[in-house]
Amino acid sequence: MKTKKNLINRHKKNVNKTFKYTLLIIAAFVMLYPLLWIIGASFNDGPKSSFWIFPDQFTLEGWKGALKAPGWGSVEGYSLLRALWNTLQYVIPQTLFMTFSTLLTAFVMTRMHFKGKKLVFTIIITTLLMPNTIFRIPMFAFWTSDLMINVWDNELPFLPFLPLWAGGLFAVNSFSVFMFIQFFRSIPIDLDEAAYIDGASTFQVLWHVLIPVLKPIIMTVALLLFISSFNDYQGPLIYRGATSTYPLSLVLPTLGVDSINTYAHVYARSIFGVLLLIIVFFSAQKYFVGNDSDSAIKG
Amino acid sequence: MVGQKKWLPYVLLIPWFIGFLVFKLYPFFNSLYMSLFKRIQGQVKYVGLQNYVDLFDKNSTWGGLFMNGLKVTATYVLVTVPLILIVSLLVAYVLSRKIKGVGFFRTAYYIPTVLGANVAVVILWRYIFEYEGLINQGLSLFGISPVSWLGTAFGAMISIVLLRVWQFGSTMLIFLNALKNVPETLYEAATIDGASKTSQFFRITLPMITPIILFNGVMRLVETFQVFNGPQLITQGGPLDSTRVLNMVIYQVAFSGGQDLYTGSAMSWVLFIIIMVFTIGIFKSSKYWVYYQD
Repeated sequence: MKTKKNLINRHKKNVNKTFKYTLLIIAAFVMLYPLLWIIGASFNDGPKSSFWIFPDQFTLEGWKGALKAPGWGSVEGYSLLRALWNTLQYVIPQTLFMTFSTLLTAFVMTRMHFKGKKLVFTIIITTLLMPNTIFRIPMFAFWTSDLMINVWDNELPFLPFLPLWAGGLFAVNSFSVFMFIQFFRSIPIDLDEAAYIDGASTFQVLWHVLIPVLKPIIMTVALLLFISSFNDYQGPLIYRGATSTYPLSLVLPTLGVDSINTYAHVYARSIFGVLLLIIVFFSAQKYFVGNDSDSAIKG
Repeated sequence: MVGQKKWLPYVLLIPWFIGFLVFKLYPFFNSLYMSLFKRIQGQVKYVGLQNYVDLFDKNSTWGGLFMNGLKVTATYVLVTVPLILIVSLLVAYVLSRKIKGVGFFRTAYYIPTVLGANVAVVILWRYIFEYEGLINQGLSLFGISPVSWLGTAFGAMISIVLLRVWQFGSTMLIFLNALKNVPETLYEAATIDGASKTSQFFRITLPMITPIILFNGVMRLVETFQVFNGPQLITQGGPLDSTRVLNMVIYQVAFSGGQDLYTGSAMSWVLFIIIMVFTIGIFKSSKYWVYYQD
């Protein structure tokens, strides 16, 4: 009697398990299918008229023209590589500076004693909940004022994108500061104190003790900043300079299906547009979704 | 800490402080200040609250679009936020129950969050939802006749809502972590008492993670009220302004067509006040439904 019940229970458990995995796999499939379909469509001649991934009529035309950007500012010779480089001219400084400045701010907030700490923390939490929309118009007025416009409205490297990355120098991303604060708090303070007793300075503690421990977390924050900067659309749209400085997010929407651009072109270019994002995500994800480094993102 | 110089923390906070003053405090008050002015025949004049009055006047230049934008945005937020919370919580719950290959599933479910906000993918969303697109091809497999997604108000709204719900990854990761922190002993005790899995979910899991539901809910609320990319690139606000969200109207007024930073500021402030009212309301209500451990 007892063994029979056990058997039924085990059977029930197995059915349950199979059901769970089936559900998870179907869900993953549904979520990723549009992306796979797009890859198939980039090899398809004409509009894709089937649900299946495989192209109806195979062509390499789309990928042959994938880097060309006909119609971008009506200038011959502009390529998507140039648009990618324009994108990187704000993504790189934004990611590097913001990671460092918010790390430093969080270090001060969690590892140092000073008057007014509570107030600073309250400000950080308040700005975390403030919608960006409220800052956008006055910041636009600021960057386009006579004083500032000459600094960035040019075609030098990096500078034309200053409004998109200047905030990185000043730890304006409250979410990164907040995440770093949570992570710092999870590291026992004894670690620092041992180093201080051995005669280390504040910066030696940060550099030689905390940063090595925090490496996965730093990579996580940097990855999130990279993704959000790379995907930014409204920023580049508002601070649009010369046509030659257009990043991917401004060039790609102008290259729809028309007499020169086929469906295959549009799909291939879109895939090129996110290629770097995919590469960076997969090279950094072992620090991110693969482990528990998200454990400090708590309410 | 030991032998720390008193001035050092203040010096190290200077970058953050400049950032707060220049990028937060100044624009915050300046947008309020700007909203009290108006450009009349080339001259900027102080008009008091007139811009705000005009926003709620159907016959003013932007009043109709603005009030429509409010309605559209509210619909989008009230549908999207609960959907994101439910989907991400369910997925996180299944993944938290000793599953092999969690890493694979977490990555798979996170990929749309990485790519879904990118302009390249948003553009393709349009092709996926067009009449001959992937969605209708899929429906036809089940014998369902094609739907004009982007041609109807309802369908267009669904396409932009789905684009956002598809990116539930970060919300899911935060839930997943919270679920792992629910003490295993609670479940063991409940199992011994004969509680079913369903009642364990509603009586243990849900109450234990209410603080995280609050956090995720507020973060997503603030974010979705400012939605822009999807409607701007997929539906262009159409058909007939049925997906013209507030942030699109603000962009139109201030940057693309109107060049009217003053009315735009007034709109931003109304949006800000609405978000704050919702946020404060949720926080106030939290004492009735959020469970805090001490």
